[in-house]
Amino acid sequence: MSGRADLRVGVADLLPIVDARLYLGLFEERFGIPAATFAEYSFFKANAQAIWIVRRDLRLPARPVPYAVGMPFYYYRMIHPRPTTPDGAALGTPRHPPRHRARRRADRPLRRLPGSAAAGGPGSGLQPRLLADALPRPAPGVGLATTDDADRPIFRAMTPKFWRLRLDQLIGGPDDTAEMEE
Amino acid sequence: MPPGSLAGAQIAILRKAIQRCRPGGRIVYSTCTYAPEENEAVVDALLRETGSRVRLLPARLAGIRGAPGLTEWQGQSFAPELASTLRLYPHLNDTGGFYIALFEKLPAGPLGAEAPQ
Repeated sequence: MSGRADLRVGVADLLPIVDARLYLGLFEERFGIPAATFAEYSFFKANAQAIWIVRRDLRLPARPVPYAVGMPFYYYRMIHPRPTTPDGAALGTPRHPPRHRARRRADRPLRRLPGSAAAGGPGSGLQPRLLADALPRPAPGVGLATTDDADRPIFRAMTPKFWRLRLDQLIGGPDDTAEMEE
Repeated sequence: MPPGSLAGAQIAILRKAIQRCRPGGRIVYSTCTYAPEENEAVVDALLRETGSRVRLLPARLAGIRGAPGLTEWQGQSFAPELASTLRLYPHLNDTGGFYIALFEKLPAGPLGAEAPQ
């Protein structure tokens, strides 16, 4: 499981800056938007189809501090049970999440962790179970799983790419709690 | 306005709204764009058409940041009162683009038939 450290980075660290003059001229000619409107912004090439206009002083938010040991997983696919809007609000709706599989250790009981009730509340298509290992170490996060998954030896986990963290960086060594495949 | 254009339809809609409005009432003209041909040009056309029968009021929304409407664009001049209309740019409020103009129909006679009470 690859990842990066939890850093607050600027958008300029991630995307190439483009010369804004072409776009500013277009905005002013076509829409009457004066160039001064974007005085505090930079233009970035997000992809082949999009230019992002972002404040120069923007720093991307730090990711949530993990509070439990475990494997993050969240079913985003539109199959039964389907994630609901509350689930997405609680855990995010990754567009292209990587897939992980974690093998449970038999001596690690499943635990309900704080916050599971809210994440798997009324209207949720998922059982409010947060599966976690019992190690007192930080983890990349927590997720939800159905009751069916509770008895499986292997969990399929999905987590937003942006939240991928290297487990050994967090727990200070090779992960001995799970085997993970991508 | 070119016949069959979107702005032509917008002018017709706004004209009808002004007609139907009772004297002393207000009409909000709002679009989800900042294209002047659909916004300031439409409002300007109706102001010229209605003369003193309507006036523009300052368009303001509490907690919303906007920019004043254009008074000129691509060689066209618009009525100075259009500066009291409101342009909303996406980056100012984390929204889409919007435009808002607030008309008040003056008691000095309707445009066409009186609106029903």
